[in-house]
Amino acid sequence: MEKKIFLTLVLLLLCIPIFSIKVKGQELWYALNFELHFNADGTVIVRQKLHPFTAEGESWFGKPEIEEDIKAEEDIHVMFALLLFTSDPKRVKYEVISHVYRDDEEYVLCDVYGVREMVQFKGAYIIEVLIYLNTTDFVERLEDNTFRVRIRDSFTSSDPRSWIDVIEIKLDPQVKLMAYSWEPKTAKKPSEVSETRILWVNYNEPEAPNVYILDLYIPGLKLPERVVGYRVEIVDVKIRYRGVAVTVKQLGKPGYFFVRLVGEKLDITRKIYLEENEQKTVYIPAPLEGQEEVKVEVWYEDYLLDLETLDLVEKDSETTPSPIASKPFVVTSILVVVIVLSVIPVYGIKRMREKTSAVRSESRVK
Amino acid sequence: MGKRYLIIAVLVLAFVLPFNTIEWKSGRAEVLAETRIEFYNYTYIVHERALLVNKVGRVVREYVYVSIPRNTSRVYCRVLKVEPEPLRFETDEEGNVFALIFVEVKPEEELWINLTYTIRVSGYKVYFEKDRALWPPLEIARIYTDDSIYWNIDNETLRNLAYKVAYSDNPLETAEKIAKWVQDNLMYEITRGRKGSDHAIVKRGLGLAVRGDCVEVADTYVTMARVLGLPARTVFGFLLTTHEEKHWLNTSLQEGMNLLTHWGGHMWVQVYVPPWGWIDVEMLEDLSRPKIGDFTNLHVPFGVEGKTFYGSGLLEFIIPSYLELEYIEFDFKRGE
Repeated sequence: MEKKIFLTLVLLLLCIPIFSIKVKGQELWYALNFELHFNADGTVIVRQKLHPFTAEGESWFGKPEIEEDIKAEEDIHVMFALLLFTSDPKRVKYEVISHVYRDDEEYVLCDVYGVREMVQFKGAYIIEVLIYLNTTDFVERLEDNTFRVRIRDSFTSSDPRSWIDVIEIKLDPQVKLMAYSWEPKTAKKPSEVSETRILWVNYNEPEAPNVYILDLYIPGLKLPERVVGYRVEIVDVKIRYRGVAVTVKQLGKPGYFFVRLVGEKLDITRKIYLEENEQKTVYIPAPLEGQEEVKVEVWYEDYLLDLETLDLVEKDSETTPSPIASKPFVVTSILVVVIVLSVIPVYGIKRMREKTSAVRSESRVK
Repeated sequence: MGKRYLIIAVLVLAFVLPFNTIEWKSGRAEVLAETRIEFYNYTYIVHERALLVNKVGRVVREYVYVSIPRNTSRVYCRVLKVEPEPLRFETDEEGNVFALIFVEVKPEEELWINLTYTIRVSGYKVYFEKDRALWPPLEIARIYTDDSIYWNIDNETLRNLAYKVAYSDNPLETAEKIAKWVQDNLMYEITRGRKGSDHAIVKRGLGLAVRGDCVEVADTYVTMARVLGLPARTVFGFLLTTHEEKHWLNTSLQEGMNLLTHWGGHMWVQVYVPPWGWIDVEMLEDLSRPKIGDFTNLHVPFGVEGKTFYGSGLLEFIIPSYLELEYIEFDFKRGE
């Protein structure tokens, strides 16, 4: 049936009160049919076919204002393609290989009336995006060139009532389907499965998987072991009162980096932004008592850029005593001095009195 | 005699003071170990109803998504009644709970959705030992300092602002400074649509300000916190003024600020600061000072947003598709 994005002409959201308000006006829906073609080189082409219709089921395909809207919102459609494979679209490398265009001969399916029957809309707005899987975060290597690819329904993810009506997965001949599954298990299984194709036809949101999981042999997919362009080095590490001061230097592209302390039951991370060639010292408060050594790491996203180990046993002697440690010593010293100073006069007076009485007794003897 | 007195005094001090020192140190450690937290539990019974109308001109068969308060260490919700009966309860990607209800409504017909649930809210106040505050573990930092459609941490204006007004070595201080800045520079107005922090931050005179309502306040805070590496997320739900009151919203009315007299839908912030974990940050309850770790049980949390790029669609409480939501009401009363 429908759903999907419900974009439209006049839908307003009121926010302080967190709530959506629909103002009188036409509300439009899109039938969403997606084709995902997995290439042997580790890329995937997402072909989105959209067909706009009203709540009554009337097609609005071909209306000039709709066409304009869809073209103007191309970025949003690209975003939904990327979000199939990532939570962080900014990290993904992609190319729009076909900007929004109109194809009058395509068909788009959707169960508009909620009766488990697909309406076949003629005509589609199409957009095609090529995505490099090695820049996404839903790909996990299982062994050699076999990978688990999780395809998340990016529409359900952003709006619980939305879903992709039809999703067709096609594989290059060199790409092998090793296994497949889906989440949640209450969703329906695929309608068709062959060595090079899997097809899910989803009549409604509860029956549509939230995540499609494929184990694929992809000969050309190489997951990066190092991130390109981002370099940060640890310049200096010092123990300071209840923590560690880490000086880092940026040697590559600017960005956010994580500076982390790791020890026994210790994992503390500060995130910092470094401009190009910037050197910065970041202080990380940490309970270091009982730690023999801690590691200082610098990360960019999932990539470890630099690492240093700090031996706390050795460094102990170099450590500036903390106020907690030094205060008792100071207090003790001050008290000793005060007591000694107060005792000396008493001692002196007593000595003088002893001398005087000795003289006096001497005289008496005389 | 005096010499002996002096020697004895020094010896006594030499023995006694180190013991005192040890006791003083361990006494201090105990204080550090027990930051005081006071809890103020309150249980509500909530009667919620929503009116859906079919204005489509055909029979509508569809699923309606009804947001239910999620259980956490400080919130316990027990659903007593849902009508029509839900097919099941589910969670979204953020872990927020909803009831899935199938409805069939003829043209021009109305349908009421009725829910009753109890919800126990633990208000709390943390008396912080500030020196104990730590920055988060890597995994938490990765997830909860990332950006999203509403929280653009690459916005240079917000990044510079965050570093200028709230950079600190202590995460609690950072949390406080951001809250103070947002509160001091707020141009409150009810906003249509969720603008995200990029559009909530505006120029005012020579400086900057946050323009919007609780959503913009929360979004701006979260972005600034995430820029500085402080894990942050938003919480949606209600903020009441008393323990027994009715909140309602007629979606066909456009009331402006008058809306606030009968509707307390609210969004606020939580920051993650070990060793305390998630701590609530409220900037609109008391405009004279932000409240951090000082959470009244007049808040009724429903869910959180922090992990997904588009946030949670459940902010809207009742989510139909073709049916139109005309009216919604929450009646809060004292529960057992």
